[in-house]
Amino acid sequence: MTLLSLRGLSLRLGGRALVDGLDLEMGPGEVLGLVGESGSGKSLTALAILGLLPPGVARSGEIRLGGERLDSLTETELCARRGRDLSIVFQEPMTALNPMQRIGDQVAEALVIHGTPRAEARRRAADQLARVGLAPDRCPPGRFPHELSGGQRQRVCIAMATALRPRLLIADEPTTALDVTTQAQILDLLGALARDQGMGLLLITHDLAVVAGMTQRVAVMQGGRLVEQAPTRALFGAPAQPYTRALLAASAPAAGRAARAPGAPVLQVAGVVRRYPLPRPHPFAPRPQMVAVAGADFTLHAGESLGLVGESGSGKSTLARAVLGLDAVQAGRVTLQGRPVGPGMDPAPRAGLQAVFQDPYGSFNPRWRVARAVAEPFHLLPRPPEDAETRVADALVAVGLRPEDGSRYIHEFSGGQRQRIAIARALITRPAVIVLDEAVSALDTRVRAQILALLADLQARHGLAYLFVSHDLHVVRAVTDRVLVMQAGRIVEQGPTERVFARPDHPYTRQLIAATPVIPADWLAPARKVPDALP
Amino acid sequence: MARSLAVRILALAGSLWAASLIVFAVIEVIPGDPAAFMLGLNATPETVAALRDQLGLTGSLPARYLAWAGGMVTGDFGTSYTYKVPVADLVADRLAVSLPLTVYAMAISTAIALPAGLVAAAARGRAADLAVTGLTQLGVAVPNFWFAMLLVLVFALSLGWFPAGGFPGWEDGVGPALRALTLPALALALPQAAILTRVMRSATLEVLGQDFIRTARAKGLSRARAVWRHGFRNALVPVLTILGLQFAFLLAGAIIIENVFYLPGLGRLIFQAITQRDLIVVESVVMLMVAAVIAVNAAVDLAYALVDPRLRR
Amino acid sequence: MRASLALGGALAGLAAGAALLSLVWTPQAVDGIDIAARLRPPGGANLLGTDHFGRDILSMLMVGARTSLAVAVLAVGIGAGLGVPLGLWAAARRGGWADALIGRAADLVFAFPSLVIAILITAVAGPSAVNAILAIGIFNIPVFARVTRGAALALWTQDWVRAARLAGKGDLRISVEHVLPNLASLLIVQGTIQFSLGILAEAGLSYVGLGAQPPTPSWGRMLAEAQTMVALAPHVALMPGLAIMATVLGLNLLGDGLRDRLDPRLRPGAGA
Repeated sequence: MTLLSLRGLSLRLGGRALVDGLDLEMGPGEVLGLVGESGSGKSLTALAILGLLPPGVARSGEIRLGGERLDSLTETELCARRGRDLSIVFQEPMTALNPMQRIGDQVAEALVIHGTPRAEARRRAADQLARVGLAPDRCPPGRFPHELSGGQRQRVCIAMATALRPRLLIADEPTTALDVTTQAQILDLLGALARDQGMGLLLITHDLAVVAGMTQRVAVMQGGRLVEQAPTRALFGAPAQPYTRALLAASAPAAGRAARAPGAPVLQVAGVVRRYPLPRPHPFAPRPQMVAVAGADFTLHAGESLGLVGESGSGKSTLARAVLGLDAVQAGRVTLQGRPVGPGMDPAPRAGLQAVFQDPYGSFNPRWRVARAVAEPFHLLPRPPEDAETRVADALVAVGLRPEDGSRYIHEFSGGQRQRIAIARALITRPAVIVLDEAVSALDTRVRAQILALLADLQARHGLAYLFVSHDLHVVRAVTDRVLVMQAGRIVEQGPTERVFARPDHPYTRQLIAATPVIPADWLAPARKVPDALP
Repeated sequence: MARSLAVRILALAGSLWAASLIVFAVIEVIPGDPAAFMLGLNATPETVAALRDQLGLTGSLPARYLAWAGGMVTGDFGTSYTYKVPVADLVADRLAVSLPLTVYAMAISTAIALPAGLVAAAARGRAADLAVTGLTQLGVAVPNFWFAMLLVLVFALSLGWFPAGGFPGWEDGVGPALRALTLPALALALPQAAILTRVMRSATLEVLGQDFIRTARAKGLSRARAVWRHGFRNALVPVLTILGLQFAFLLAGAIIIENVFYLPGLGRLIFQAITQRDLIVVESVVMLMVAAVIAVNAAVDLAYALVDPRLRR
Repeated sequence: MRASLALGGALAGLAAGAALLSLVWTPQAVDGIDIAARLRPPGGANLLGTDHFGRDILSMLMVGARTSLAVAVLAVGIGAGLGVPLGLWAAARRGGWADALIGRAADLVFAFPSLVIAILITAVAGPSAVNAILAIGIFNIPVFARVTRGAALALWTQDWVRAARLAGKGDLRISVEHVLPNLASLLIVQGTIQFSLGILAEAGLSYVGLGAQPPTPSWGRMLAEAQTMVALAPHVALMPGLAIMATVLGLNLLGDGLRDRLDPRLRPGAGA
C-alpha cells in the first residue's frame, strides 16, 4: 500500500524540462526527505502534487494519492482534496498568511471550506492552535499575523495544514527562513504531528543535516532528475552517486582549523554601543531607544578568522556595520591599527577595512561593468594607481576568474561567481581586515564549500584577518579560529572555536549548539575524498 | 487607536495651518496692495483707502493673518466686494452644487472601477482583460471637458435624455437636480474611473502573486474564492490611496466641468471672482478647496487603519 | 508590447512633428479672419474644416500643438529638475530632518491641484501661458520627488551602495553614480506620464481661460470657442479634442512600452 506515488512526472516551461521523468513512492505515515540544491525542481514537484503549478508549466506523468489519480481530477475535485487529504507548509512564514485576517479565522477557514459549521470550526481552530504550541493565554486566535514571530507564524501554517488530519503533509523548506533554535522546535513539532496522526510527511530541504535527524528515507534531486534514493542511514553511510557524495562532503561537519599563533592585533572594538531612536509613542513623548548592541569588546589579530554568531535580532549585523564604520557608534570605539574607524574616517585607513556582503545579486550596480566595480575602492587612494588595470586583472585571477571577465556585466555571472567578484573588490586595496557579513549564506552547499576554500587560500597568502559574521554554526566551526556568540545585543561568550563548540560555557551557546541539526559523525563513510575546491 | 487619532488630528491641523499660510501669502503679500489691484487703475486714493479699511487691510501682516484665519475657523469668510454679501453665504449656495457633483462622480467612478479592475485581473491576458485595459487607455487620454461636450452632443442635443446645462436647484426635489448633475458627473467620473480601474487591476494582480493566496489555495479554496476572500481586501489599500488623491482631481475637475454645463457651483463663482478681482472670494474658495482635499486625505489615512490591521496601533 | 511602443511613438511623434513643422509652414495662415469661409466642413482646401472665424482648423491645431507641447515639456522640466534632486536628497538622508521636511512639503503641495495653483497665480498676476507652466510645473515637483525618493530608498538598502560607502564615497557621489543611473528608466517613464498629464492640464487651463491668451492658438481654447456651436458644427469641437486624445494616448502608450523595455527586472543590465 503506497500513500503517494509519482510515475514519470515531468514539468516543462516553454521547451525546458524543469522536472524530468521523476518516479517516487512514499508509504503511509512515512517521513521522506527530498533533498536538492536550488533549481533542482524539488519545490515544483511539491506544487505539482497539489495541482498548484504556476501558469505556463506543463505537466505529464502520473500522480497518485492512496491509489487515486490526482492528475486526472477536475479543479473542483482537487479543491475538495486540498487541505483535507493532502496539505502543504511553505518556506516563508512571513508572507504565507493573509495580513488582514486573524490567525484563528485563517485556521477555521480550512475547516469551513471542507464542511465544518462555522461555530464548531472556530472552536476546533483554537484547539488546533493550542496543539501546535500557540496556547490561547499566550497567543490567542484573535491575533493578526504581524503580531507573531516567524516561528509562531510557521506554527499557524502548520495548524492550518494539519487541521483536517491529512494523510500527506508536504513541508517545503519549512525552517529555512527561521533561526536555528526555532528551526529545531518546528522540526520537532512536524515530527510529532506526523507520528501522532500517522501522517505521511514529505520534507523538502536543501540541508542534509535536517533530513538526517528527521526522515526514514531520503531522495536526492539534481537538475530535475532523481539522482538517488535510499534509507537515510544507508544513504549517508554509502552514497552511490558522485553528486550525493559531493553534497555530503560539502555539508559534513569539518574538522576545524589547525591552531596557529595569533598575530599582532589589527582591529580593536571596545565598549561599542549602537542605539536606534524609535518612533515617538505620541508627539510630545521623548523618543524611545532600541539598543541593538549593548557594549561589545573584542580584538581581531592579523591572519586570524574570528566568527561572530547569533540569531536574527541578536545585533550581529548592526555590530558588523559599526565595525566597518558605516554607522556611528553611540559609545565606545573601533580602531584599525590604532586609527579610529567611523563614518567620517580618513580614506587611507578605510582602505584597510573592506567587506563582502550576503546577497550576490545586490552587491553590484547592475549598470557597471565588473572591472569598474572591482576598481571602485581605488576611490580611497589620493589618485588611482597607474597599474590599476593590472591590479583589477590580478584580483580577478586571484579569485579564480579570468582578466577578460572585467569587461562583462554582473548579470552574466552566477551567484558563486558574483561572490568571487565581491571578494576581488574587497581585496583590491590590499586590506588588513575583511568583514564577511553572511558572505556564503545565500549560496548552495557545494558552491559555498568552494568559496570557503578560496577565502582560506587568500588568507594564507595575504595574511588577511576575517571577521566572519554568520548564523550558520557549521560554517563558523569549520573556518574560524575564535568565535563570539551574540544574544540580544551582548557578546555572551567568546573563545577558541573548538573550545566553545566542545565545551560551551554560556547556556545560550549550549542551546544554539544543541539546536543545530548535525549529521552524526559515525554515519558518514570514513576517508572520503574531498572534491577539488574549484570546478 | 485613540492616541494615533490624536496624532492624526494634530497633523491635520498642522497641514491646514501651513496651507492657510501659503494661500494668505500668495494673495495678500506678493501682489502689493490688493485693494488697488481689485479696483483697477482708475480708482481714486479715497476709494482705495475705503476698501482697505473694509477689507481689514490696515493692520499689521500678522494681525491681518490672524483676523482672516480666525474668521475662516469661525465661519466668517469676510464680505464679497462685488456681491456685497458674506462670502460664507455665497460659498454655501455654490457648495450645494459642487459637493454633490463631486461625490456623485466619485460614486460612479468607484462603482465602475472596482469590478472592472477585479474582472480584468482575474481574466489576465484574456479578452475581458484586453477590452478593459484598452478602454482605460482611451479613458485616461480623454480631456474631461471635451468628453462632457460629446455627452451633451449625444445625450442632450441629439437624444434629449438629459438637460444640456443649467441647474434647477434642490427645491424642486432630488429627481430633476440629479438629472441635471448626471452628465457632468459622468464626464468627471469616466477618466478617473479609467485610472482607478488600472490601479485596481494592478493591485489585484500584485496580491494574486502573494504567498498567502497560494496558502489559501492549498487549503482547498477555489481560485475565485481565494481572490474574493483574500485578494479583494488586500488590494483595496493602494486603491484607497488613489481614491484620496482623486478627490482633489475631481474637485478641480468639477470647476472646469461646471463651465461646460453652466452649473452655478464653486467653479463658476471662482472664475467670476477672478474676472471681477474679488480677491476675498478667491482666497476663501481656494482655502476651502485645499482644506477639503487635506481633510479627505486625512480621512483616507484613517480608513487605512480600518482596512489594514498592521496600521492599527 | 513592441506594438504599444511603436503606436505610441508614432502618435507622439506626429504631434511633435506637427508642432515643429508649424514653425516654418502651415497649410493656411492662422491669423487670417475670413467670415465668409466660417464653419466649413472638412474637405477641400481646409482638410479639417474651418472655425467660426473662417480659420483653417488643421493649421490652428498645428500651431496649438506647439503651445501644448511647450507648456507640458517645460512643466515636466520644472517638476523633474526640482523634484528629482529633492527626492534624491530625501532618500540620502532617510529618516533625518531633511527627509521629513521634504515629505511634509510634498504632502502639502499635493493638496493644491494644479488648477488651484493656476487660479491663485492668475488671481494675482493675470492669465498667461507662463502661469500654466508654473502651475503644472509646481504640481509636478512633489510627484517627481516622491517617485524618486521611493525608488531611491530601495536602492540605498542594496549592498552595492554599502560597498560604495566602504570605498569612501559620500552621499552626493553615491546619489549621482549609483542611485540616479538606476532610476533613469523609472524617471523616463514617469516623465512621459507627467508629460501626458501636463497636456491634459494645459488644455483644461486654457479651456477656462487661465492658460495661453489670444491670439496664441491652443487646443483648450479652441474647444472653449467651439463649445457654443457644438450643435451647429460638431467638427470644430471634435478636431481639437481628438488631437489632445491622440497625443495623450500616444505618450501613455510610449510610457508603457518604455516601462516594459527598460524594466531592469525584465532586461538585466539594460542601459548598457
